[in-house]
Amino acid sequence: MSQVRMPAADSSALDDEVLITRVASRDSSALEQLYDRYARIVYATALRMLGNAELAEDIVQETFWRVWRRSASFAIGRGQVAGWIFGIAHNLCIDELRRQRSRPTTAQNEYEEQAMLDQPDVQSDVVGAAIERERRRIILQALAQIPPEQREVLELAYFRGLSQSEIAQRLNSPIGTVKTRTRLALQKMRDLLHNQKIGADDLHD
Amino acid sequence: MSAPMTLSNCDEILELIPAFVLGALDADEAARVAAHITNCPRCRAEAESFRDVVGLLPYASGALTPPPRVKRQLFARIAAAHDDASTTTAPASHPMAMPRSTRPGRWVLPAFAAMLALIIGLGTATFEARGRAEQFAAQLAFNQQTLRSMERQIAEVRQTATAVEAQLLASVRELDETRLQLAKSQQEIQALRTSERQDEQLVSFIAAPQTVSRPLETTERAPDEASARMFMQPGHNRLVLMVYGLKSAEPGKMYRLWLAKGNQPIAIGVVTVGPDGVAEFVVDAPEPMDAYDQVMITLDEVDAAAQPSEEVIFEANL
Repeated sequence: MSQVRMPAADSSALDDEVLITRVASRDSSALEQLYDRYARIVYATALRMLGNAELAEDIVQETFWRVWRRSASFAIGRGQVAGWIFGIAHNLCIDELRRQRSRPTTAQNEYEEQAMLDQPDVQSDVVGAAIERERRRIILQALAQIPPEQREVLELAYFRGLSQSEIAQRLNSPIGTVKTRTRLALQKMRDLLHNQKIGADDLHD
Repeated sequence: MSAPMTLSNCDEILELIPAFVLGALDADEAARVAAHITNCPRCRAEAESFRDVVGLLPYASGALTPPPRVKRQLFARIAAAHDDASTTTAPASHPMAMPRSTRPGRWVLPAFAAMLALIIGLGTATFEARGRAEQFAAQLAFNQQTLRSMERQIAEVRQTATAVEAQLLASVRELDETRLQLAKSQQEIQALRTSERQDEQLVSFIAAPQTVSRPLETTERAPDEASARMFMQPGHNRLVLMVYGLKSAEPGKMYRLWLAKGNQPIAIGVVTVGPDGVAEFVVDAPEPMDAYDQVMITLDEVDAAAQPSEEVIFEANL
């Protein structure tokens, strides 16, 4: 399996941890670099989860606003900057989904989502685009290697923001089964990534 | 649906961790796991082991550049919030980014920036509020857990204190008893020492070369096995008397020692006979022993007068 580590295009391509440290010292140009690196993923994920471009835009802005505000609380060495940013975005999306679900209104617009993803899109930064593609390939490959029923609970939990009991209801399965599938799915994915020797450093350098 | 919160054990938490890292737990369960992994390195490590997987999942959605206005609004908001901060720098130029003039920076009019921030801020206020509510819920759960754990500790400490107090009381009682025992032992030692001293005196007196001894005669009132011997030194007042084979005096009676000059008897003292029938009697007479003509031991009433009774047990002429 090939290494995920990507060579830096030039000296200006700074390490995420350096950038977040600069953000913490109120350097907005560092935040801009992180934005350029990860806003595309956040936006695509928010679109997939919420199926609404306007809401997805709000999520992107709110996510990076929180990165700006909370950068000082990011502990270097305790995780990847990208994972941290995605975590913030994901929590915001989940909150939005749960809020929507508590109001009996808008159904997801799957058509709109699909249309959005079909749009041609170009990442301006060549190296950044290569890293994005590689990471996408890795996760899709890992997802393809777990059983469909495990993939399904992962999708419902992560991208649909459903709780374990909600998933059980939707799939008409016992909650224990849902819990087991969730655990097995994550464990298998973790093992697959580790077997590919894709450690934290490789992924996020 | 929210069950009363109990102290989570690791097995239960480990079951919940996969759903937790995926954000698929109910708020109260998520708060419970969050509180637990704050304090439990093992469960925290388990949660972190899934970080790479969860960190890569968003890439499955592909990538899509958000409309330029998103970035513009974001940096306008930042510029407004930190308008007066000297460390704020303008966004760096980027190869294919928007023209510089369209992006807000330090040159944005403060009033405009503030208004923009207000408009944007209103839209995001609910996000902020929800985020804070979550934090408070997690904090509350954690605090409740800490409180319960402290209450348990206090109860344990109280129990220990009660036990220690009881033990202390018992120890004090034992100490008191020991003190009493010690006092008694000291008295006994004192008595032994006194008697030892007397014995020493007795022995040294009896063993002295100038000491003379003579037996006392028994009368018909004395028991058959009774005998008595006296020791004295010429020119000295001391008289030592050893008596054997006498019964202890009955209640209301006592043995008395008399010395007589001519027909004048003088009461010298009471002779106490032990249960073994032995009496040792040491006394210093008012005058040297040479001054007396006769010695005798009588059995008298306790409240007897100054005269010896008729009941003479031993006698000797000196």
